[in-house]
Amino acid sequence: MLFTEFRFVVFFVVAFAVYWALKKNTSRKVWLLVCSYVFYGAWDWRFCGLMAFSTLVDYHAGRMLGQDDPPRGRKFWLMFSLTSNLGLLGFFKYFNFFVTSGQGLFDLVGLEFPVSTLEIILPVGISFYTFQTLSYTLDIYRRALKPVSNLLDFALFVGFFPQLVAGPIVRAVDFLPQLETRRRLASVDFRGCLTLFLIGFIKKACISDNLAMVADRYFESPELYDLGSAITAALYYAVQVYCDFSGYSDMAIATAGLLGYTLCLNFAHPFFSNNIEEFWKRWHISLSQWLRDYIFVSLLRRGRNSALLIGRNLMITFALCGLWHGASWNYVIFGLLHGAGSTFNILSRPFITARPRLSKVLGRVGPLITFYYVCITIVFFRPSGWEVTGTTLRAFVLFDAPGELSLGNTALWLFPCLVAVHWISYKRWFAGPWRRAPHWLCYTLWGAGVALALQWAAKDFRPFVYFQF
Amino acid sequence: MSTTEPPIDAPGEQGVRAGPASILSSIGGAVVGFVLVASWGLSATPPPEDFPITTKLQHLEEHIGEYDTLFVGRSHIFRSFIPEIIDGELSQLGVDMSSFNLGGPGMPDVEIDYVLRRVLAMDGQNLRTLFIEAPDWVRQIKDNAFTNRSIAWHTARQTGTVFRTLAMQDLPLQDRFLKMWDHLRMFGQRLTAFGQGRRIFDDLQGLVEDQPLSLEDVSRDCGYQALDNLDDPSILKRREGFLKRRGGYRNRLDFLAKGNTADYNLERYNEDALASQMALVRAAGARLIYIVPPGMDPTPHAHALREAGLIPDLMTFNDPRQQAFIYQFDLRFDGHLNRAGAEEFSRIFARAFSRFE
Repeated sequence: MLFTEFRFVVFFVVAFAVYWALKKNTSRKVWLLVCSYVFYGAWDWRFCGLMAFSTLVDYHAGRMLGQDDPPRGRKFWLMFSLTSNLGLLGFFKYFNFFVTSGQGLFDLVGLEFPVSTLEIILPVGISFYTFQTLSYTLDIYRRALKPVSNLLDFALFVGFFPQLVAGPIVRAVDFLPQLETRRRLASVDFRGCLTLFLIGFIKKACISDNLAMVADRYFESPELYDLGSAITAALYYAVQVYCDFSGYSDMAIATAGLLGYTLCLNFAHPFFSNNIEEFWKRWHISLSQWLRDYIFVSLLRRGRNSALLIGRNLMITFALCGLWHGASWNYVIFGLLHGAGSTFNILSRPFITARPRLSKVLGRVGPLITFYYVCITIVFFRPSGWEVTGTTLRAFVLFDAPGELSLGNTALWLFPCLVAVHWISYKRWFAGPWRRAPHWLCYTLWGAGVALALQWAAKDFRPFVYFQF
Repeated sequence: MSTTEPPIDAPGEQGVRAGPASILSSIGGAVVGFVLVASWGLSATPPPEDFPITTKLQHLEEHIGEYDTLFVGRSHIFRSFIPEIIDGELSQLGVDMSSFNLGGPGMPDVEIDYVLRRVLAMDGQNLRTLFIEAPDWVRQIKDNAFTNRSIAWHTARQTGTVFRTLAMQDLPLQDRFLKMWDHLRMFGQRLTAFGQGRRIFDDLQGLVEDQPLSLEDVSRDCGYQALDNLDDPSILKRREGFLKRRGGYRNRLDFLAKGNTADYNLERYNEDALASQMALVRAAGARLIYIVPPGMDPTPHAHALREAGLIPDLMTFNDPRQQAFIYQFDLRFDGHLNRAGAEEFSRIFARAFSRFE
């Protein structure tokens, strides 16, 4: 069930109406949990059991970690939680990757790898909810959080349907307190939520899915297309991924908001970032913060860390970030390239800061260079095979394209429009007037916006790119 | 938390208290805004035009009086019938015919019916014979169910007809519900002009959509187009795949031969739709001959309909055992006939038709 599908509207209207009609907080939470499992089961009901298992394991591990056991006992329960979660993730997501990588390695030395690949279906959203539950046990272990005493609350934290399958990765410390008190309908910011949902829908259905049609045509056979087409396809693919994922996050935040819950911000105009380091503070914020808090920080030594050590830690963190996205070497390279970009920023900072003129110039062209670099790296994000990646990069970086076919320039006018809209949103020019507008005007425009968005939506809804993660 | 500012659109922490009047005006405003723009979209949506039917209908608008015979159906009609050869061959056999190929890839039967109605509504038509791909109505070609033509067909009246038909049919409840849901979605998509923005925008600017089949092509080949010389990457990939799967093709032929003789339950057949189509053609003063082209799908319904006497005239060409010649691997491009195959088939068809007469 996708947020952009009509059946989601039907599902949500029922979920919303019953939720607010119930009086008791516990009844509401039970209802939301049922809805969440129905929502998840719409993909594959068999994996509901997997989510329930993960919930029970971490609930129990959390309770045990919360007791004042000797450190050894606490370590055991932390390891229990880590092994269970990463074991499930490793099996469902990475088993075949490790086997094929092992086979490749054994082939090099002429040996036969003893394990073969399995037909495994990747449960949708497993990376998201695994990281969520991991953050819960890790925070309790670090004594930054007290274990939840109510299984219902914890199950809802894991399975809350707006953010279940593609984030944002919610932290227990932010979400669990919200479950303790009964939400009030009067506190719901309908205008903000409905607007955000519409913006998310437009990003996904009108922009991302329409650009995907152009990009897909190129990536099917890049060797047939000319240079202009290669550049257009790479740019469009970057915008497609951004609008796809940030659109989903917007809709998730808005949906949760309509039920009275606040989810964390996940995107903040990443394409206006001055460098890669800043990019990751604006792109998939919930993941980058997770990686920062639980991996990068853990790798740091006490006291002063050299720039080289920080660079090494960044490379490890970003390699894992790439691997989180998908069980394939292209994602690892995607991560490593971003790690290299961030390391370069850190290493070059003293040099640039010492030269005010260079610093000023980079301040101007920084977003352009960053966007270009992101476009290069995002080609690796597309699992189309090495040949396709190579042909596209040859065109995008060396300006050398083998083919003669053209994608046509019919959609080129869209790009400046997208930049303009992104800029207006970045500058928050419409935020004030929109908030101050009278109800009737605001909602009339909203209704018209919905009708227009439906007219401009791509006819074929595509699954969200991040669902595969 | 991030050091960056939240976007303008992030919902606030606190909602605004609203009284009943304010709530009503908000809901009313949203409905009015939606209905106004959706109605405008519905009226501004240009007629459904998908490859290659757009160009063919455009050509027919100008030349309808020049043709007395049409071939209407899916891709196997489009890629198999060469009017020039059929007319020439029949002329040698003493039959006078001036035909046009009105086939289009992947049209579900409701779309074929829609196209037929558009042609029969044209002024100055002089049609004597219509060859229409034998419809089963129930089948939905999944990839093509939501085409512009199919959606445009779903007016309230037509959708009502489908619902009544589905209600009468002896289908499992889940199947019936899913089919109704699909038709309801198409009806909704028509009402909201869903996904039509680009076409409305182009139409307002007077731009015509790029069509892979030009008016000149249509005029020269009377609607036929061979796959052989097209440079569309997806078609080339299909061809590559076909060449790699010679064994799969043989299995498909066995499946086809067996499927044609399978039982077909006519109780589930939409006889009303068939009768309505036949009456429409009769009213236009033309003869209707249902046809099964040399395709790759079994058509047990066609045989069952003939045996039950529901369709008087039927010509079938999809029996790989009886008509092995036109199912030779070398005469196929990707399951469809290539140009050489279509030329051979057109001659075979003309001879069969002269005998049929």
